[in-house]
Amino acid sequence: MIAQAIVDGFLSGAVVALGAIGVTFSLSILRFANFSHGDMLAVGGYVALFVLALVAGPGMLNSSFLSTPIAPFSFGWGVPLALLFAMVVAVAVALLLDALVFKRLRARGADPLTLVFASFGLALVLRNLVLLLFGPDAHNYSNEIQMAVRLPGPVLVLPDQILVFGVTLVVLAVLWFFLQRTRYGMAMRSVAENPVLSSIAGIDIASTIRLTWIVSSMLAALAGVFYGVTVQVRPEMGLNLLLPLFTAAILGGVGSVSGAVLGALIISLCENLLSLVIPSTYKPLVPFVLLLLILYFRPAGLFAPKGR
Amino acid sequence: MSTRTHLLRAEGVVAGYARDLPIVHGVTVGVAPGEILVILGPNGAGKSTLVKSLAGVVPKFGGKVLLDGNDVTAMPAHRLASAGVGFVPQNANVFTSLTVHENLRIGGYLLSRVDLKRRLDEAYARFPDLGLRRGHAGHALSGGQRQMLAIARALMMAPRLLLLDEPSAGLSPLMVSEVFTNVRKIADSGIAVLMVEQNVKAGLRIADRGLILVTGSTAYEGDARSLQDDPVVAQLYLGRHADTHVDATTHATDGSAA
Repeated sequence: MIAQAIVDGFLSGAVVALGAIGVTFSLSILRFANFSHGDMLAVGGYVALFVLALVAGPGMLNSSFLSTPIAPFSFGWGVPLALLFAMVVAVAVALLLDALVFKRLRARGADPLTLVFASFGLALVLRNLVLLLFGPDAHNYSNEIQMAVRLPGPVLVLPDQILVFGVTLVVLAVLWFFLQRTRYGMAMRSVAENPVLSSIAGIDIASTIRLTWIVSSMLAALAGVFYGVTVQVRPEMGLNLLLPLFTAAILGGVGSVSGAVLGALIISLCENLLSLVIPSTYKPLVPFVLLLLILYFRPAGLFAPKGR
Repeated sequence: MSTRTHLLRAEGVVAGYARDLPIVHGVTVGVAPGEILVILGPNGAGKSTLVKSLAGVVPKFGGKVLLDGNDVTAMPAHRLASAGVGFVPQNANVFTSLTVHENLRIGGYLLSRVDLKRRLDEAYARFPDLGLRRGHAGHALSGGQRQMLAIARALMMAPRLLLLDEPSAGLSPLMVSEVFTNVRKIADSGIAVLMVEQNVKAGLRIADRGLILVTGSTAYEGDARSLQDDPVVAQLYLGRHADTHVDATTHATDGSAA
């Protein structure tokens, strides 16, 4: 039971980590708490659902190649294609929202709290748009039955979950390389610490902010699609994930990508382990309690970048 | 004002943080290649605001700034960097969460890979102490090492003009001497240096010319030696007694209007 809870914690934590990285970017580079980030996960998840419905539906775009599951997984090549579309649409939506709302507010010298309230409003718009277009019901990407893999413990894991976890690890490695080794990644890190000094060094802050939206929304779309693959998509999924995402970012230390990942794993492990001893209806309380504890005992987070 | 051909020529600069409350009121400055112009003045005179406005990080509400004859008045900070202006702020002048090497790489953000490598080698040759600490994080450096790193970072783009905001602030006398020796060498290599400084004696010692700001306007201007010897400057800023009393708002040691 405990081994199963630990493995489940790691698997669900991987999806939360992808979303939490976007939150930590928002807090450190964009310098406000973006409460619409959770709903960007939902946008990604639902765009993928739309693409999958097209390739599996009766219309002209029907493709058995894309909709036939690839054993041992529950889905076919349609999911990678849908993921690609989800990322493109999420990036477009993020850049559009920035251009229409956040950029204008920054130009007027709005304080971070104004941006936070604007993000609240946008979250409601996105959530209700999803509700309007797709209805209130939950949807699965696939109804195929999968055979669980039996690991020592004994622990049962679905092939979809193993794949999602593996791809998440690869994405995190690529992100680490991007941030540590490329000039654009270094620009994002420097703007997170000191925008004025960055601009003096020749870094265009406006471009770096756009890049931050692009990276964050791509990761959000990825997390949303992975959530759809391993759980299901629901219009309120963004709202439900918001607290774990923010808790992970704050627990890990604002501005720390590795901290956000570790924070997400800690939250998911706590949720899954505690669900062995408390009713599962209290599970959403876990990130809330962790957030209160971290804010009380270590407000800078566990792995905050030194020197900031 | 010097008759040498100015690399930077700022005329009637009005700058501050709010349009209706400017801190710098119509200041005119110029600095030539290989020259050090030190800007002195009491606290609140607008020295830092002036240099920040020239670096593009504080808005200008009036006047004109020419760099090598080109109007750069409205140019944002990141474009001034590529136009040949390096700036070392007084505070938060290194990225403390990044290593020495990463700080220098950020300084050369706009360079090609080949040029970046060459400039990194040059930076480590110019500041050997940084070479020994290239993997150290900015927050782990001493005040003097941070100042060296900040200057090295600003030099990565091989600027034609270097703006320094109080480079001696918070440093030990030994480190001040080392920093100023380096600043003189930088100027001698042909870079124009405009430096705000509270340490009047040390600043005038390495400078070619000086300008004294009082409440956002130019009060004195002249070559560094004459400012050092000026009785009013000595009385007001160097702590020496002067034999004569001169109206501080109208005095200019080189005869130019102040």
